[in-house]
Amino acid sequence: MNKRAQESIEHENLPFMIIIELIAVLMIISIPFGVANSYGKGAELIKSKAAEDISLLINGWLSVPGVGIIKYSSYNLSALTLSLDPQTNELILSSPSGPDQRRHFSLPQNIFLHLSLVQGPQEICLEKKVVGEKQIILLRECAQNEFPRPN
Amino acid sequence: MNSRAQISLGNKPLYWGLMLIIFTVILLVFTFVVVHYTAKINQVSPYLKAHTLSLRFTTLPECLAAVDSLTGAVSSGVLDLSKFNENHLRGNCFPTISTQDYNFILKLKRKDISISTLHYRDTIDYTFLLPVLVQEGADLSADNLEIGVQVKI
Repeated sequence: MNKRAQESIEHENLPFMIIIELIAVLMIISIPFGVANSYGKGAELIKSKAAEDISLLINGWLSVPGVGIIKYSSYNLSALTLSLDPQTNELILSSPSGPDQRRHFSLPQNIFLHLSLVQGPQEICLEKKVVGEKQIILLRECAQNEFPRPN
Repeated sequence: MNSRAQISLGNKPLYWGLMLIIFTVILLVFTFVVVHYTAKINQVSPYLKAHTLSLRFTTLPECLAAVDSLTGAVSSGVLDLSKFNENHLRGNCFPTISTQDYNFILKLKRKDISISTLHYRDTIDYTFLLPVLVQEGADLSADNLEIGVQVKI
Protein backbone atom coordinates (compact mmCIF):
# COMPACT_ATOMS: atom_id res chain seq x y z
CA MET A 1 0.00 0.00 0.00
CA ASN A 2 1.46 3.37 -0.98
CA LYS A 3 1.44 6.53 1.09
CA ARG A 4 -1.58 8.16 -0.59
CA ALA A 5 -3.72 5.05 -0.22
CA GLN A 6 -2.85 4.82 3.49
CA GLU A 7 -3.75 8.47 4.11
CA SER A 8 -7.02 8.02 2.25
CA ILE A 9 -8.03 5.09 4.51
CA GLU A 10 -7.10 7.08 7.64
CA HIS A 11 -9.15 10.09 6.48
CA GLU A 12 -12.20 7.92 5.74
CA ASN A 13 -12.06 6.38 9.23
CA LEU A 14 -11.44 9.64 11.06
CA PRO A 15 -15.09 10.75 11.73
CA PHE A 16 -16.02 7.22 12.76
CA MET A 17 -13.10 7.05 15.20
CA ILE A 18 -13.94 10.46 16.66
CA ILE A 19 -17.56 9.38 17.29
CA ILE A 20 -16.42 6.12 18.91
CA GLU A 21 -13.94 7.96 21.11
CA LEU A 22 -16.55 10.55 22.12
CA ILE A 23 -19.02 7.82 23.06
CA ALA A 24 -16.34 6.02 25.04
CA VAL A 25 -15.35 9.20 26.88
CA LEU A 26 -19.00 10.06 27.64
CA MET A 27 -19.62 6.57 28.98
CA ILE A 28 -16.55 6.72 31.17
CA ILE A 29 -17.51 10.17 32.48
CA SER A 30 -21.04 8.95 33.27
CA ILE A 31 -19.77 6.06 35.44
CA PRO A 32 -18.54 8.23 38.36
CA PHE A 33 -21.78 10.24 38.30
CA GLY A 34 -23.77 7.01 38.46
CA VAL A 35 -21.67 5.78 41.37
CA ALA A 36 -22.04 9.11 43.21
CA ASN A 37 -25.78 9.12 42.62
CA SER A 38 -26.24 5.59 43.94
CA TYR A 39 -24.23 6.47 47.06
CA GLY A 40 -26.37 9.56 47.59
CA LYS A 41 -29.68 7.70 47.45
CA GLY A 42 -28.73 4.25 48.63
CA ALA A 43 -30.09 2.35 51.61
CA GLU A 44 -26.55 2.02 52.91
CA LEU A 45 -26.28 5.76 53.32
CA ILE A 46 -29.63 5.98 55.13
CA LYS A 47 -28.63 3.07 57.36
CA SER A 48 -25.40 4.78 58.32
CA LYS A 49 -27.05 8.18 58.88
CA ALA A 50 -29.90 6.73 60.93
CA ALA A 51 -27.44 4.74 63.07
CA GLU A 52 -25.50 7.90 63.87
CA ASP A 53 -28.68 9.86 64.62
CA ILE A 54 -30.30 7.26 66.85
CA SER A 55 -27.02 6.64 68.64
CA LEU A 56 -26.74 10.35 69.42
CA LEU A 57 -30.37 10.42 70.54
CA ILE A 58 -29.83 7.57 72.97
CA ASN A 59 -26.59 9.03 74.30
CA GLY A 60 -28.26 12.38 74.80
CA TRP A 61 -31.23 10.85 76.44
CA LEU A 62 -29.11 8.81 78.82
CA SER A 63 -27.89 12.10 80.22
CA VAL A 64 -31.35 13.36 81.06
CA PRO A 65 -32.98 12.17 84.27
CA GLY A 66 -36.61 11.10 83.96
CA VAL A 67 -38.76 9.19 81.50
CA GLY A 68 -40.38 9.92 78.15
CA ILE A 69 -40.75 9.04 74.48
CA ILE A 70 -38.87 10.39 71.48
CA LYS A 71 -40.10 9.92 67.92
CA TYR A 72 -37.53 9.58 65.16
CA SER A 73 -38.74 10.04 61.61
CA SER A 74 -35.93 11.75 59.73
CA TYR A 75 -35.49 8.99 57.17
CA ASN A 76 -37.60 6.29 55.61
CA LEU A 77 -36.52 3.22 57.56
CA SER A 78 -38.95 0.80 55.90
CA ALA A 79 -36.10 -1.19 54.31
CA LEU A 80 -34.26 -1.63 57.61
CA THR A 81 -34.43 -3.79 60.70
CA LEU A 82 -33.52 -2.03 63.94
CA SER A 83 -32.71 -3.73 67.19
CA LEU A 84 -31.33 -3.06 70.64
CA ASP A 85 -29.14 -5.78 72.12
CA PRO A 86 -28.87 -5.63 75.93
CA GLN A 87 -26.14 -8.30 75.95
CA THR A 88 -23.66 -6.18 74.03
CA ASN A 89 -25.30 -2.79 74.69
CA GLU A 90 -25.53 -2.17 70.98
CA LEU A 91 -27.90 -0.62 68.51
CA ILE A 92 -27.94 -2.68 65.30
CA LEU A 93 -29.32 -1.52 61.98
CA SER A 94 -29.43 -4.18 59.29
CA SER A 95 -30.76 -4.54 55.77
CA PRO A 96 -30.95 -7.45 53.32
CA SER A 97 -27.77 -6.21 51.64
CA GLY A 98 -24.66 -4.64 53.07
CA PRO A 99 -23.01 -4.90 56.47
CA ASP A 100 -24.83 -4.14 59.73
CA GLN A 101 -24.34 -0.77 61.35
CA ARG A 102 -23.55 -1.22 65.03
CA ARG A 103 -23.22 1.43 67.72
CA HIS A 104 -22.09 0.64 71.24
CA PHE A 105 -23.26 2.46 74.36
CA SER A 106 -21.51 2.92 77.68
CA LEU A 107 -24.50 2.74 80.01
CA PRO A 108 -24.59 4.06 83.55
CA GLN A 109 -25.53 1.68 86.31
CA ASN A 110 -29.28 1.16 86.61
CA ILE A 111 -30.04 2.10 82.99
CA PHE A 112 -30.44 -0.81 80.57
CA LEU A 113 -31.28 -1.38 76.95
CA HIS A 114 -34.39 -3.49 76.51
CA LEU A 115 -34.26 -6.26 73.90
CA SER A 116 -36.16 -4.73 70.98
CA LEU A 117 -36.62 -5.60 67.32
CA VAL A 118 -38.45 -3.45 64.80
CA GLN A 119 -38.73 -4.44 61.16
CA GLY A 120 -39.42 -1.94 58.40
CA PRO A 121 -40.92 0.78 60.60
CA GLN A 122 -42.48 3.95 59.23
CA GLU A 123 -41.44 5.86 62.34
CA ILE A 124 -39.68 4.64 65.44
CA CYS A 125 -40.19 5.62 69.04
CA LEU A 126 -37.49 5.45 71.67
CA GLU A 127 -39.07 5.04 75.07
CA LYS A 128 -37.36 5.47 78.41
CA LYS A 129 -39.33 4.16 81.34
CA VAL A 130 -38.97 2.87 84.85
CA VAL A 131 -39.49 -0.84 85.45
CA GLY A 132 -39.14 -1.83 89.10
CA GLU A 133 -36.04 -0.07 90.33
CA LYS A 134 -34.30 0.22 87.00
CA GLN A 135 -34.71 2.38 83.94
CA ILE A 136 -34.93 0.82 80.50
CA ILE A 137 -34.66 2.20 77.00
CA LEU A 138 -36.66 0.37 74.36
CA LEU A 139 -37.21 0.77 70.67
CA ARG A 140 -40.61 0.26 69.07
CA GLU A 141 -42.70 1.35 66.13
CA CYS A 142 -44.78 4.40 66.98
CA ALA A 143 -48.49 3.82 67.37
CA GLN A 144 -50.84 5.69 65.05
CA ASN A 145 -51.47 9.24 66.24
CA GLU A 146 -49.07 8.77 69.13
CA PHE A 147 -47.68 12.16 68.22
CA PRO A 148 -50.61 14.01 66.65
CA ARG A 149 -49.70 17.05 64.61
CA PRO A 150 -50.77 20.29 66.26
CA ASN A 151 -53.60 22.11 64.47
CA MET B 1 3.04 0.12 3.79
CA ASN B 2 5.59 2.83 4.37
CA SER B 3 7.43 3.48 7.63
CA ARG B 4 5.10 6.31 8.85
CA ALA B 5 1.99 4.20 8.42
CA GLN B 6 3.61 1.33 10.31
CA ILE B 7 4.50 3.62 13.20
CA SER B 8 0.97 5.06 13.25
CA LEU B 9 -0.74 1.67 13.33
CA GLY B 10 1.79 0.32 15.80
CA ASN B 11 1.07 3.13 18.30
CA LYS B 12 -2.74 2.63 18.44
CA PRO B 13 -2.86 -0.37 20.83
CA LEU B 14 -0.30 1.33 23.05
CA TYR B 15 -2.44 4.48 23.13
CA TRP B 16 -5.64 2.60 24.07
CA GLY B 17 -3.75 0.52 26.60
CA LEU B 18 -2.46 3.65 28.29
CA MET B 19 -5.92 5.24 28.20
CA LEU B 20 -7.42 2.11 29.77
CA ILE B 21 -4.91 2.18 32.61
CA ILE B 22 -5.39 5.92 33.20
CA PHE B 23 -9.20 5.65 33.26
CA THR B 24 -9.07 2.62 35.55
CA VAL B 25 -6.87 4.52 37.99
CA ILE B 26 -9.19 7.57 37.81
CA LEU B 27 -12.23 5.37 38.50
CA LEU B 28 -10.56 3.64 41.44
CA VAL B 29 -9.48 6.95 42.95
CA PHE B 30 -12.96 8.39 42.44
CA THR B 31 -14.64 5.39 44.06
CA PHE B 32 -12.28 5.66 47.03
CA VAL B 33 -12.97 9.39 47.33
CA VAL B 34 -16.75 8.88 47.19
CA VAL B 35 -16.69 6.13 49.83
CA HIS B 36 -14.45 8.22 52.07
CA TYR B 37 -16.61 11.29 51.54
CA THR B 38 -19.89 9.53 52.35
CA ALA B 39 -18.35 8.12 55.53
CA LYS B 40 -17.20 11.63 56.42
CA ILE B 41 -20.51 13.40 55.82
CA ASN B 42 -22.42 10.68 57.69
CA GLN B 43 -20.29 10.95 60.75
CA VAL B 44 -21.64 13.01 63.62
CA SER B 45 -19.05 15.53 64.75
CA PRO B 46 -16.86 13.94 67.46
CA TYR B 47 -17.06 17.22 69.37
CA LEU B 48 -20.87 17.05 69.51
CA LYS B 49 -20.73 13.39 70.47
CA ALA B 50 -18.23 14.12 73.23
CA HIS B 51 -20.37 16.98 74.52
CA THR B 52 -23.49 14.79 74.56
CA LEU B 53 -21.68 11.99 76.36
CA SER B 54 -20.17 14.29 78.96
CA LEU B 55 -23.55 15.76 79.91
CA ARG B 56 -24.23 12.79 82.14
CA PHE B 57 -21.40 13.59 84.55
CA THR B 58 -23.22 16.55 86.03
CA THR B 59 -26.83 15.50 85.46
CA LEU B 60 -27.17 11.85 86.46
CA PRO B 61 -27.28 10.56 90.03
CA GLU B 62 -25.51 7.41 88.74
CA CYS B 63 -22.61 9.71 87.88
CA LEU B 64 -21.63 12.68 90.01
CA ALA B 65 -24.88 14.62 90.49
CA ALA B 66 -25.93 15.10 94.08
CA VAL B 67 -29.26 13.72 95.30
CA ASP B 68 -31.29 15.44 98.00
CA SER B 69 -31.45 12.97 100.86
CA LEU B 70 -34.89 14.18 101.96
CA THR B 71 -36.75 14.55 98.68
CA GLY B 72 -34.68 12.32 96.40
CA ALA B 73 -34.51 15.13 93.86
CA VAL B 74 -31.47 15.16 91.58
CA SER B 75 -29.52 18.41 91.57
CA SER B 76 -27.99 18.80 88.12
CA GLY B 77 -24.80 20.81 88.24
CA VAL B 78 -24.19 19.99 91.91
CA LEU B 79 -21.51 17.32 92.32
CA ASP B 80 -21.42 14.98 95.27
CA LEU B 81 -17.76 14.81 96.28
CA SER B 82 -18.20 11.34 97.79
CA LYS B 83 -18.93 10.09 94.25
CA PHE B 84 -15.85 11.75 92.80
CA ASN B 85 -13.66 8.66 92.67
CA GLU B 86 -12.51 6.32 89.93
CA ASN B 87 -14.34 3.25 91.20
CA HIS B 88 -17.65 5.06 90.99
CA LEU B 89 -16.86 6.63 87.60
CA ARG B 90 -15.67 3.41 86.01
CA GLY B 91 -18.22 1.08 87.58
CA ASN B 92 -21.42 3.09 87.85
CA CYS B 93 -21.19 6.04 85.51
CA PHE B 94 -19.14 5.40 82.40
CA PRO B 95 -17.87 1.85 81.93
CA THR B 96 -15.62 1.57 78.87
CA ILE B 97 -14.50 -1.51 76.94
CA SER B 98 -11.43 -0.24 75.11
CA THR B 99 -9.66 2.82 73.81
CA GLN B 100 -12.09 2.63 70.88
CA ASP B 101 -14.70 4.14 73.23
CA TYR B 102 -14.71 7.79 74.18
CA ASN B 103 -12.77 8.16 77.42
CA PHE B 104 -12.74 11.07 79.84
CA ILE B 105 -10.65 12.69 82.52
CA LEU B 106 -12.51 14.87 85.02
CA LYS B 107 -10.72 17.45 87.08
CA LEU B 108 -12.03 19.71 89.81
CA LYS B 109 -9.85 22.76 89.30
CA ARG B 110 -9.95 24.33 92.76
CA LYS B 111 -9.75 21.11 94.69
CA ASP B 112 -7.12 19.87 92.22
CA ILE B 113 -8.33 16.30 92.09
CA SER B 114 -8.89 14.29 88.95
CA ILE B 115 -10.38 10.96 87.97
CA SER B 116 -10.50 9.18 84.63
CA THR B 117 -12.33 6.38 82.87
CA LEU B 118 -10.66 2.99 82.57
CA HIS B 119 -9.12 3.31 79.11
CA TYR B 120 -8.01 6.89 79.28
CA ARG B 121 -4.44 7.10 77.90
CA ASP B 122 -3.49 10.72 78.47
CA THR B 123 -4.55 11.90 75.02
CA ILE B 124 -6.90 14.86 75.17
CA ASP B 125 -8.75 15.83 71.99
CA TYR B 126 -11.28 18.25 73.48
CA THR B 127 -11.65 20.06 76.78
CA PHE B 128 -14.85 21.43 78.28
CA LEU B 129 -15.02 23.63 81.34
CA LEU B 130 -18.22 23.65 83.38
CA PRO B 131 -18.97 25.76 86.45
CA VAL B 132 -20.34 23.48 89.16
CA LEU B 133 -21.17 23.40 92.84
CA VAL B 134 -19.45 20.77 94.94
CA GLN B 135 -21.29 19.23 97.86
CA GLU B 136 -19.02 17.98 100.61
CA GLY B 137 -21.17 16.80 103.49
CA ALA B 138 -23.36 19.79 104.30
CA ASP B 139 -21.01 22.28 102.66
CA LEU B 140 -21.38 23.67 99.17
CA SER B 141 -18.55 25.34 97.28
CA ALA B 142 -18.17 26.69 93.77
CA ASP B 143 -15.67 25.03 91.47
CA ASN B 144 -14.95 24.39 87.80
CA LEU B 145 -15.13 20.92 86.34
CA GLU B 146 -12.67 20.41 83.49
CA ILE B 147 -13.63 17.52 81.26
CA GLY B 148 -10.90 16.19 78.98
CA VAL B 149 -12.12 13.96 76.15
CA GLN B 150 -10.10 11.26 74.49
CA VAL B 151 -11.73 10.31 71.22
CA LYS B 152 -11.05 6.82 69.85
CA ILE B 153 -7.35 6.01 69.59
